[in-house]
Amino acid sequence: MAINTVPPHLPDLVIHRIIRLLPTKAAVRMSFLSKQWEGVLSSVPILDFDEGDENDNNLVRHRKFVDNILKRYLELCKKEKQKQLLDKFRLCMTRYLSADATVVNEWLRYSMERSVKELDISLRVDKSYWLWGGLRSYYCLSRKALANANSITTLNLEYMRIKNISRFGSSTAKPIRLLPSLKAMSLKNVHFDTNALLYLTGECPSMESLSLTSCSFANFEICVSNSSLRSFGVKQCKAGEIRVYEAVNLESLTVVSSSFELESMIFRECYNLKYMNIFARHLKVFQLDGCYDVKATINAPKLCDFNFEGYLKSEFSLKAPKLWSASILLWDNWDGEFLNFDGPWKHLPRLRDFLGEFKATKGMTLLVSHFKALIFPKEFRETFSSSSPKLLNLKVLDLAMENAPTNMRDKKDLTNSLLWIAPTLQEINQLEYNEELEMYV
Amino acid sequence: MSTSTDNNASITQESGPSAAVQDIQKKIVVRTADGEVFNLKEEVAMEIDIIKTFFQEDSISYETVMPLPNVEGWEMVKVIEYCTKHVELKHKVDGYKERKAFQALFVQNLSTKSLLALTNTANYLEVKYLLDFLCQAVSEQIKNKDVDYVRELFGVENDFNDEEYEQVKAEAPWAHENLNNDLH
Repeated sequence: MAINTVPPHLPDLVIHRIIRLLPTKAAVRMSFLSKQWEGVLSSVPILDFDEGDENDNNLVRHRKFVDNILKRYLELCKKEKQKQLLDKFRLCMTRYLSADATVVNEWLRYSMERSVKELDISLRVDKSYWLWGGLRSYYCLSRKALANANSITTLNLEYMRIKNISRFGSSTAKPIRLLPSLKAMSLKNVHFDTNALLYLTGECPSMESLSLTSCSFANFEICVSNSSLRSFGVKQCKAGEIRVYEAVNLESLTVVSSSFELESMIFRECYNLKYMNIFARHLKVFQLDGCYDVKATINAPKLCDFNFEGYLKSEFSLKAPKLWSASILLWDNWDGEFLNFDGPWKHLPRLRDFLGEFKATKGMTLLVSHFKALIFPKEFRETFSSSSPKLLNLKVLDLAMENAPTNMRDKKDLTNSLLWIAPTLQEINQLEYNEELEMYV
Repeated sequence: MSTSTDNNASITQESGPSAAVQDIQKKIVVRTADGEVFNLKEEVAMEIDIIKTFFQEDSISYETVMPLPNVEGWEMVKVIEYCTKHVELKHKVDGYKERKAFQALFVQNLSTKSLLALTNTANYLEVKYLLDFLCQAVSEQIKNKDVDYVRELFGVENDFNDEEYEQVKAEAPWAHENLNNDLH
C-alpha cells in the first residue's frame, strides 16, 4: 500500500465531521490546531457533555466536571458574538447535586437562545444524596426553564422532577404553547407532580410520539390528552391508572407493566388506533372507546372487566383467563345491509372470531344496532360447528338492540344463535333504552 | 483492460456468489490518478455517489472510463473493499457482528496518514457511510491526545502567531488539563 509522506490537508467538511464525533472537551482542544480547526469548531451545531463513569460517590470528579467543563465552556460560548443555531444539546450527569441546578438552567437558557432542536438531559443524582433525599434531590423542571423552548423538536429527559407547568388565568390572550415544535418526547425515571404530565402534554400541539419509561406520578395516575399524538408507549411506570383522552390521531399504543400496580386503563376517542400491545400483570379494568380498525393484543392475567366500543373490524387477541365481565358495543350500522339479507355471511366469521376471544368471561353485555347481525343461520352454524365461539363460561348475557326482534321466529333464531355462541347460557336479559338515563338498562 | 500486479482485490473476481451472476452484471471502469484501471461491479460502483452521478445523471455510456484524478490506486482498492462488504451486508439480516469485525480489520494496518488520506478520498468520492466510519476512527485516535501530538500526527501547521495562540489558549485552559486524570 502506498503511504503518503506528508499527511493530507483536510477540507472543512471532513474536519467538521471529525469534531462532531469528539466529546466537547477534546473538540475544544482541537480548535488550537490551526485557524481552520478553530473556525470549524465554532460552527459545530452539537454540544455534548457527558460526565460518564459509574455512579460512584466521587464528588471531586463531579466538581471538576461542573466547574472545569460546564461552567467554563458556558463562559467561552457566551463570548461568541454570533449565535449559531444549535442542533442538539446533551447533558448527562451521573452525580447531580441540587447546587448544580443553576448551571443546568443557565445551559438550558443558552441552548434555547441558540434555537436548539434536540434537548437531551439526564441528571442522575449522586448515590449518597439519593439515599438521603430521594425524589427531593431531583432537578425540578419548571415553566420558567421552558420559557423559550419553541425551537425544540425532540425532548429526552431523564432523572428529574416535572412540576405543574400550567399557567392559570390565561383566559384573555390566546394560549401560547411552550413547545409548539415538539414532535417526540421521551421521559425516563421522571417524577411528575400531580397533573404535571397532563399539562406538559397540553403544551405540545404537534407532539407525535410520547414514551414514558419507569416514571412515577404524585397522584399515581397517567393522564394524557393530546390530539396530535400518534404513538404512545408506557413501560414499567409506577401508576395505578392510565387515561388517554381525545387521542384522535393515536395510531400505536404499547403498555408494558410487569411489576407495578397498573390496574386500570381507559382510552377514549381513539378513532385512528391501529395497533395496540398491552402486557399488564395487574390490570383489572380495561376500556377502549372509538376504534374503527384496531389490532389489539392484550395479555392481562388478572383482567376482570373489559369494555369496548367500536367497530367489528377491530381484532383482539386476548389473554385474560380471569375475565368476569365483557361489555361490547358494536357501532356497525347494519340496518341497510340486513334488511334484505340473503347474501353470503359477510360479517359472521368476523363476529364469531371476535366473540370467541372472550372464552373466559362469565358475563357479557352486547349492544348492536340490529338483532339480525347476531343471527348465525342454521347452515352457518352447521358448517362451522367446530369453530364456534364456545363461550363456555358465559352464564348471563345482557343484550341491547336498537332494533329488537318482534316476531316469534326471529326471536327463536336469535336464541339459537346465542346458544351456539354460548352453549351454557342460562339467562338472556334484553335491555331497554331508558330515555331519562340515556342508556340501556 | 490493464491491471496492476499487486491489486488483485480490485479486479472483478471479488468473492461473489457465482461466476455466471458476475458475468451478467454490468461493469464500470475507472482510472485513478496513478494510471491504474479498475473494473467495478455495477452495484458496488453505484455505492460511490460521484460515480453514480457521473453515469446516471449525465447518462454517459458505461463504456466510458471515468477518470478519478484525486484518488490513488491503493485508496481505490480500500474503497472497493468497503463498499463491496457493505453491499454484501445489506442483504443480511443480522450482520452487526460481522460488520464490526470487518471494520476492525479494515483500519488495523492503516497508519494515521493513510487513514486521513482515505478519509479525504471517501469525502471526494461521496461515500457517506465510509466517510462516517473513517471519521469515527480518526476521532477515536485523537480523543485523548494533546494538541502538539495531534498537530504532528495530522501534519497541521500552527498558523496562529504567538500572541493569538496565547490568547486563545487562555480562554479555555481547562481543555488542556489533566488529559488522563480528568474526564473525556
